[in-house]
Amino acid sequence: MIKHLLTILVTLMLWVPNFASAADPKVAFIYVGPVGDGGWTYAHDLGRRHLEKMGVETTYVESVPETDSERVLRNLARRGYDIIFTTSFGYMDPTLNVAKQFPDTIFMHASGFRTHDNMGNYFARMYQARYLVGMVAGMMTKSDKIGIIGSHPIPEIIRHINAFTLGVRSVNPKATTQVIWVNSWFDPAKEGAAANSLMDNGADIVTITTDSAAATQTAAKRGLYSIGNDSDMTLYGPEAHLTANIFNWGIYYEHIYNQVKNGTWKPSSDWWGIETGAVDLAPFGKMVPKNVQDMVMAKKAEIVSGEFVVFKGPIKGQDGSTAIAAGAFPSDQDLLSMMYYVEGVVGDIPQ
Amino acid sequence: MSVQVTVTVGSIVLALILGSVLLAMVGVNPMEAYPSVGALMFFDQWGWQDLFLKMTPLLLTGLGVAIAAQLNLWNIGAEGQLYLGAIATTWLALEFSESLDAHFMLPILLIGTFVAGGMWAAIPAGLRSWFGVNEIITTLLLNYVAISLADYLLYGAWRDPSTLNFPMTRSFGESSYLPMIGSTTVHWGLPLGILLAVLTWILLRSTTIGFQIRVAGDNLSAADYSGFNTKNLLFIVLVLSGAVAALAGMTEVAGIHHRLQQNFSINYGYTGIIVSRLARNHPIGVIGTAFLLAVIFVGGELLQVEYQLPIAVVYLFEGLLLFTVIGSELFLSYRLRRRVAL
Repeated sequence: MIKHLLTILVTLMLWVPNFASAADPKVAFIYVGPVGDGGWTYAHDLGRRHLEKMGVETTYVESVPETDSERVLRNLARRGYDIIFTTSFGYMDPTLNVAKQFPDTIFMHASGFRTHDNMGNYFARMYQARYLVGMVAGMMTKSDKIGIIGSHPIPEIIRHINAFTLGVRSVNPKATTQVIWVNSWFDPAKEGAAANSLMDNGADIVTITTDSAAATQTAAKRGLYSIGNDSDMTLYGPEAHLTANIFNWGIYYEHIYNQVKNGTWKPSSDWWGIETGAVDLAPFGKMVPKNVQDMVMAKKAEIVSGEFVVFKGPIKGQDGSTAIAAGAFPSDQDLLSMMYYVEGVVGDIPQ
Repeated sequence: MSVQVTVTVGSIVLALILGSVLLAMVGVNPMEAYPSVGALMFFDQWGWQDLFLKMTPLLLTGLGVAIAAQLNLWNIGAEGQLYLGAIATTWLALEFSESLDAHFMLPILLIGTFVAGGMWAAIPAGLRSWFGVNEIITTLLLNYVAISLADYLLYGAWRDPSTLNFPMTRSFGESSYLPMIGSTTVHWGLPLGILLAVLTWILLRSTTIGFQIRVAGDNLSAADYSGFNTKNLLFIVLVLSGAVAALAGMTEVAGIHHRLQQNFSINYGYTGIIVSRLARNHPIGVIGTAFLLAVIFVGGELLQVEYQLPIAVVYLFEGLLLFTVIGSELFLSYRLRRRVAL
């Protein structure tokens, strides 16, 4: 009997992975852009600084090209960092490769889909906030044309364009959105040029799925409006910036840090919604009227409570056909592989 | 030769001194940072593996540019040739790596990529040789064509459905993986690059065509008058240049990523121009300068990790080094001489 118990105990001890039992895990981040991008990377760095304020030792490496990330990750792992957050889609396979080489380090990859014994992935349901800022755009546009600067035509971005467009047309069925792809996450010059073309084409509001504040600056210069992305971009054009869909990564990073510290971390795929506070809206600009703000905040409360779901049928595809049948809720898997535009988006997905 | 080495080493030391001022300005003690970063790079197995990995594509693109430079041709197209090489490798790997084992696959990748890169470079080479079209412009513009071609394939026919439509191909079969040297993470692309550099040097020094190239490089008209077919020479050299640069694409996708994905090149083709220029276009010299640039990149990363320096400081550092090394050429081209009284 005792022998059996012992066997079970030993098996259990061997089986439960002994992750970073160090009392105070050290945390590292790699960023695809510079910390000063004012958008995506800046949002992650605010999360890192949140950890620093808690007294956690952190470091980061910025502007790491996706295809060079494996070496940088290996460097961080061998420097003794216990948790490494890799914050770009293209870091996915490099993260997995390094995770296999350093089984005692925990890797968390943003916006991907791979997991391993010591690797999890995470993202936040930014599409919920996109819908809300889309409502703002739909009510504020006069030309009924809204421009979107697309980064890469991948499902995440298509989903965001669709959610935004659904938001726009929920309040303004005449309005359309037009997308220009820049094939880059961070390229202020291209983003600025794309903003100009969209505005030349009649758009009076532009939003972005890229990382820089160039579109907001361009809108400010031309006396038109913009909606920021990932971080509050008000500073770059207070008179143009209506609002922004933003991440609050600090909440999530604190959660993961505590899990690792307490030894309760397990690999998983997290997709936190607006109810957790991990995604939100930036403060409204002064030009957004009170009734618009109220309507948007009321809708936000409905999403938080679960009363309203952004992707719920009936939703029509770009050509008017049924994309999501009436009453149907697409699964997360469907959302993660979404590769069609909804009705109201002008243009084609590059193939 | 010894003067060149002395001046180059001197200019690197100067860059380190100037860099130490830079480090001190951002609050890092250079006396502490240099030894610790140096130790992490040179006396750490991961460190030198990083250096060798980073050096490989730079060596191949640098060598490609250097070959063209023998005839005073500017191959600005190494980036596109690298992309085309990667496309050729990917096509071969996706088509055949399930049915062939590594003994057949690796030579097929090597030869196939070499030929594809050469054919790609034959466009600007032919235009240059027989129509006198400036190769700087054609090679540069073809970069965008090659990159767009890769994007077209990645967003279309080659996109892997299992990666949720993200623009990357599926992984190659294992028979298309470049093997690693021993138990390191360094693949055989580096020895390949060094071998090609040596072969190029021998070709230039000890063969008839090498002699013709050297003569034509010194004076194209003189070569013409000597009865050399300079049009053919220009064509061959530029084609060879593109074929070698294309191999960098093969070593990157078959050696590291094992698939083609967007933006896989970190300007290796353009950096190859610097590699070649720093080596004064000497085929053996590019081995040294490719290593030097790898040190700059990897050292810059380590400075970031260890001292949380912003990337801008790292870029400044790289700029300083290139500035002093290229600036030092002044001392190689012009020498102070004491005037001897008659």
